[in-house]
Amino acid sequence: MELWIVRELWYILDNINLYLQRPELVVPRVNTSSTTLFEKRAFLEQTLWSLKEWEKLRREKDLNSLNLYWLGDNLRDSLIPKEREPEIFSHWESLARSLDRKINQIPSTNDVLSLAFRDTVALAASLGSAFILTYQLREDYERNIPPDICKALANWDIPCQNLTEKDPIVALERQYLREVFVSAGLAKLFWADIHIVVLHLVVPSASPQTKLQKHRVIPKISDPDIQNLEPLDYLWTNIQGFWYQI
Amino acid sequence: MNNLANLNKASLQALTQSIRLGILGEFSLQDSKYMIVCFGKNSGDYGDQDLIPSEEADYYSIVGRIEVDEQFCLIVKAKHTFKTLEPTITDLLTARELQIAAFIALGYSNKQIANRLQISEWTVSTHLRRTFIKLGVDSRAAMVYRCAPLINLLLQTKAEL
Repeated sequence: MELWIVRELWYILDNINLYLQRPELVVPRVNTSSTTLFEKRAFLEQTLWSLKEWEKLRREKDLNSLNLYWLGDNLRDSLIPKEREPEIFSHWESLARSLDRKINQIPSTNDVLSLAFRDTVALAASLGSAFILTYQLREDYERNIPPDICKALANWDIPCQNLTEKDPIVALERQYLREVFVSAGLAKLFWADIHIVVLHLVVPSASPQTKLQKHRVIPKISDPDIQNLEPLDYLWTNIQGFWYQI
Repeated sequence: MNNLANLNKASLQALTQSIRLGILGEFSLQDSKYMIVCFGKNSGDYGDQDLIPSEEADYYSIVGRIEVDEQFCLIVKAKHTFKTLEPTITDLLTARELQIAAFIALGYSNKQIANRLQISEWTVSTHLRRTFIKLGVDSRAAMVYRCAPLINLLLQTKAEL
């Protein structure tokens, strides 16, 4: 299984002291009034601890040996699996750029986390069969509030549906992923009451094997508004998200 | 600084909510927030250990005790959990963001910067957007103004961009 991270995380880690001083840039919910003070502080601490752990990992480990991949500022700054075509980079960038246009039409958010969400969604779409691993805060879980990335998707008019383990496919995949976590020595995460969430994106014709030109072949559509959409914009108006808890 | 001061203040208020004590007052001294909390008429009812839950001990400390109107009170200080100094431009921006800011100060367009750095124009614009967020500005001119001292220094020392 390939593990991919988005370049925005590296940018955050390049500047970690800033984010430790101004955590609201990566934890925008600190600025919302709907969260209690204790929740805000707990979330801040969790996020800052995670950033420090990532920084430690990057500093102390040989990243090439971790089955960890990313797309940087250009192909040269990226690390992609040997089996992947280099076109993955331009494909991802096209998707991220088109999603960016869509996001820019919505009242802007002034936090770096939204940029990371944009890159993550575009990366998952460009990788084809990939899914996004995220998590739900305990307080959100108890109140049935979706993970932050799903809230961002909803703000971008991308529907995100919650699935339960009653869904047989969810049950099957959940079992498989739990086994992967256990075999990776991460069973403790489940005991620690950490609500890990899987987010799948169903994207029309977004597989990396598909040439970008192919996006120009759009099924016959009668709605003139949709006909006028740019090919990749069409993609983002037809994407769907599905999430469940492992 | 204001955000951090607010955070300390918020943390103190949250503490009093969690331990259900009355707040008599609060004050600031040397960048730290203090709160006077009242816990009743019998000082023997509460030891330090019971008053500050163990999971909170890293964030608060009792720095004094006073008696007000026959009520026993403690002075609680919020410990600094975050740095309080204003970051400088070099703290705020990465090397790549500073590099792009310097190019813009020199009058380069996004396309020219992209060619120079061998990255896409969109990647240049994503760096710019992040820089705007960090600096709290909304234009290239404002960004250059904020970075001017450092950019001038870079140009004077003929640092290679």
